[in-house]
Amino acid sequence: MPGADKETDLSERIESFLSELKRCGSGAGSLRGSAETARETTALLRRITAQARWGNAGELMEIIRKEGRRMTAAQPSETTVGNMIRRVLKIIREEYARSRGSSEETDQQESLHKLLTSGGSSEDNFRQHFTHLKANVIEAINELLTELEGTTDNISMQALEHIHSNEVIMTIGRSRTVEAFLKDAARKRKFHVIVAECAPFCQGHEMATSLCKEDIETTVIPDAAIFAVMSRVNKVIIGTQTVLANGGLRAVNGTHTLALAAKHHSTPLIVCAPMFKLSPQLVILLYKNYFFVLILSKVNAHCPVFDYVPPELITLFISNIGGNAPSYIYRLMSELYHPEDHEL
Amino acid sequence: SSQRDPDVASAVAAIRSLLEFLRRDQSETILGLRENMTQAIRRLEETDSSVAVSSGGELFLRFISLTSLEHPDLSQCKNVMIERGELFLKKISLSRGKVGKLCHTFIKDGAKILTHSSSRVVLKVLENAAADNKRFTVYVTESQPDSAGKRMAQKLRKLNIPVMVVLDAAVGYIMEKVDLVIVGAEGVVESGGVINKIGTYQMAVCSKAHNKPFYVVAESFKFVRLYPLNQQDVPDRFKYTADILKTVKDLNQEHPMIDYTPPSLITLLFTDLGVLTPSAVSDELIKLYL
Repeated sequence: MPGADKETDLSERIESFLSELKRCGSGAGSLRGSAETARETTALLRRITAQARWGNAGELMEIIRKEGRRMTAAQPSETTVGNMIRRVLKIIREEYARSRGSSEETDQQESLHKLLTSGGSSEDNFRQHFTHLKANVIEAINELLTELEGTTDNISMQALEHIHSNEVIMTIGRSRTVEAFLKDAARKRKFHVIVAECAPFCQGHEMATSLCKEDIETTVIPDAAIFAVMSRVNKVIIGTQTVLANGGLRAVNGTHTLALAAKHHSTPLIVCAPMFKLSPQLVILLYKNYFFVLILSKVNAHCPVFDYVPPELITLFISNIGGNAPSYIYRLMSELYHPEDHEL
Repeated sequence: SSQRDPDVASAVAAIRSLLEFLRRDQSETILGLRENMTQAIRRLEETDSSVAVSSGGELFLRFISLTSLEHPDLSQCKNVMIERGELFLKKISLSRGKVGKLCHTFIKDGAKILTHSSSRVVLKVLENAAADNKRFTVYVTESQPDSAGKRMAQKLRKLNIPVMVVLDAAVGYIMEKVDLVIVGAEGVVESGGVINKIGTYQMAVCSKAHNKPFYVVAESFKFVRLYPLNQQDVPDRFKYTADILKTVKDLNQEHPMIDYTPPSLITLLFTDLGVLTPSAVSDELIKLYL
């Protein structure tokens, strides 16, 4: 029966996605970039919208939330999965509101204004059925996918505004976004890049090799030399794993040291992060991500994978929608996600 | 009425009395209504000069203006106002619970918390955290001149939370031991700073020096349209209690009851509108007043 086939096909795909997510975490570091994870999550959500059985927006949101909880439980450190789910939930709310004809602007956030002017219950439980809702939601998800594909290019386009000739730029580890950013600027400007290797995986080495291929003068330094070299650096440009709701970062270990050294020398710290990395969480349990390195037979080294960087140390966020100050992140977040979806 | 029911925030009591006043008001025009309201608010401020009453009053006035814009006819307007007023009152009496639910996740197991004076919202937050089976210790400052901290300690002991009262002067001494600082607020100003019992500013400066997070918990009706640039900018009518304002001639001899903490020292604000960074507060106020 075609109906049953679709359902089993859908659940098969969800299961395979979940097992891939789980596998990513047990290895050392992530085996694929977060952009890919975001794209696959969104594609899977589109498939769920198209193939799962639902009658109204409320049911669809329940299904997505349920699957979303399973996905985030499979790999809690991969926050892009949760972010994409929240984006899609917001899309569903917007499309529902649009179908109902009410303006979506006023219904969204809690505010003092809303507290004072709302009369009676404004509880929208999304139970009305609309025939075109499915098509609209799928179209909106397609737009989201197009946006996701263009993020790295949008960020790189802004490179020339921030990098000038003969500057010394410092970065740490390997970020695909920063790589593209620097390569784009290198087409028109000549500058020098210092890469901190970011032990123990030394992803900085790969970054340096890749930058060298584009004829960018690169130097690799050990993490301990960051402070010593900082006085000669004009700008620090880094990527991150997640951007938190208060404007702080959850980035690869060593980033906090880099940020503190930059603050000490009053060097601007620029973070290149696409919008899908913005997460509404504030409390992230850093201490769950560890891996063990066996150096000698009797010594266990405890290495955290991520660092928390507080928002005071960051100068600018460059994302696919432009440059923003860390204190403005709360606003961007309120535009991307609905407050009721912060807790899946 | 705030003296009769100590569990209710003074702003909520103020709004409740204003709503009662609204019901009994006999004016014929909206302008007359507004004038009567303003007078009533002034009377309330004379009895209790706290920031919270002032913010509650202003919010209520704003509420009237917004409603009257939609319904120019007085009798219809009044009915809508009374209905919305009841709803508003119901919502804000729930706000303390909402704040408590938001904040208690930030308290980790084994945490040492420092708080200042007696705040019902902080009490609610700690209550929620204790109900969540988290173990933590609380240090409360005595908070002179009214020893409000001792009352807070008593309430915490009733909840079986280990608590220690410290001198106001001991904040710097104790700061290295604590993990985080949580305080309430009497008013949240436009810049994102807070007005609270005297000693809060000191605590904030110390916590910044020791790199400890400084959290403020406040309900959204405490947002007030002030923008003080320093301690002197806070209006005198908030700094001193109502009786002192009436009786004393030279206020320079009196000690103020509140101080202003600038937003640069505050890490996060927990309100019933969500967890806000200090820069988000002015956004909220703009949305309301413009």
